[in-house]
Amino acid sequence: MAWRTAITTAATLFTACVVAASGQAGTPTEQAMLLSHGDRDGGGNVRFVLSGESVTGLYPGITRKIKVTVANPFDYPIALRGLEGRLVGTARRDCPATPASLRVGTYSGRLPIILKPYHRTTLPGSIPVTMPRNAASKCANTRFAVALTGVAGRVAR
Amino acid sequence: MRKRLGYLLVATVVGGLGVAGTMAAEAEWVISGSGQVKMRAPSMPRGTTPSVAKQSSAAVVSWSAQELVPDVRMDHYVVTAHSADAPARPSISRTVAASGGATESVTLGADDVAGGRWYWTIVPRFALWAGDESGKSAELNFPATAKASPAATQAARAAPTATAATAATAAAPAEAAAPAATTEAAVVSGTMPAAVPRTSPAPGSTPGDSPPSSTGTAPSEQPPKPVEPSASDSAPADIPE
Repeated sequence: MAWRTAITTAATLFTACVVAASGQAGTPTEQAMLLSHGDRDGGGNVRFVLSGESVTGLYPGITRKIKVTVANPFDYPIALRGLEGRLVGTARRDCPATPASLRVGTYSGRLPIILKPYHRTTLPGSIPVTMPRNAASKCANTRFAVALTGVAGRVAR
Repeated sequence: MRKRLGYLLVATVVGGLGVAGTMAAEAEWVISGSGQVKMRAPSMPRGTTPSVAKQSSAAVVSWSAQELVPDVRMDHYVVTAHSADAPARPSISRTVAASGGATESVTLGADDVAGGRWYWTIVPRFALWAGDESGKSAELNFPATAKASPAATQAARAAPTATAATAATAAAPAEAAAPAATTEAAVVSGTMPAAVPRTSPAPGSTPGDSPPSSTGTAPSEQPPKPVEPSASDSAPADIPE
């Protein structure tokens, strides 16, 4: 009888812990509810914000660099561990959003980078973008949109 | 015995959960971030209106070099001779590699232009990009030559065009007796032969507009226009650099 009680108690404790852990792990949802800055994704989670300086003067054969600024909307430091850019659109159908029109490279700087709470930081590295020499003629006088995505982790104080 | 086993089981489970919970708490949360950057490519400028001059029996076409963005010049130009005769002769186009200088020029030999009235336009190009065609140059009239000798042709082609190099893509059907052994070639649009017999002279035409067999008189030459500055045709104002 006693061993049944023990097993039941252990199972209850285990279930409670699993439920509690699943509510916390992976997302900063509870902290996010307290924040007033930062974008939210589709799930309502607060995200840090990436922004890049607009780039002009892209022409066939040239490589320009995107300087990226990261805003940490959280009240705790985060470590930026990954950053990438991706061509997501152009203003002209005849200049498709493909590497044949514009190639987006990988971030050139050192990672991870620690971002202080509520701070904006312009990263020391950059993301190169290259217009191929054989870019279509319709790519002249065209706007391009490059999406930036980053992954960070919470850093213990 | 069973009681002890139960206590041991409970202690093991609780201890394991404690360790796992601590590890989960220490584990780093993954946070994502996003943003967007806008970029813009410059527009290609319209070609600068070329100036033309006669040199012997050849036409020397000159124009200002143009920039795509500051300090980046076009890498080549398409120079097209348009016939001002009626009926019009086929246009003659040449792709000219940029010299890198402030001005560019190209010479069209006598066998290309003889017996016709012509004006020229320029299209700036950079890689596969092309700008809009320039305005028309002044017209020049070239007398018909009965037969352009190879020596004359070579002499005309050797005229000082130091700032231009031509890239040929096809050979033009020249006049009947024109030598085929030309090192330069022109891209000829259209299928008309270079010498087109006319049934009636065009209004306001000069003797030079006559068919090659006619005895041409001195054509009305126009002095070459000064080369236009390229500043207004540089990179568009909406591309700050």
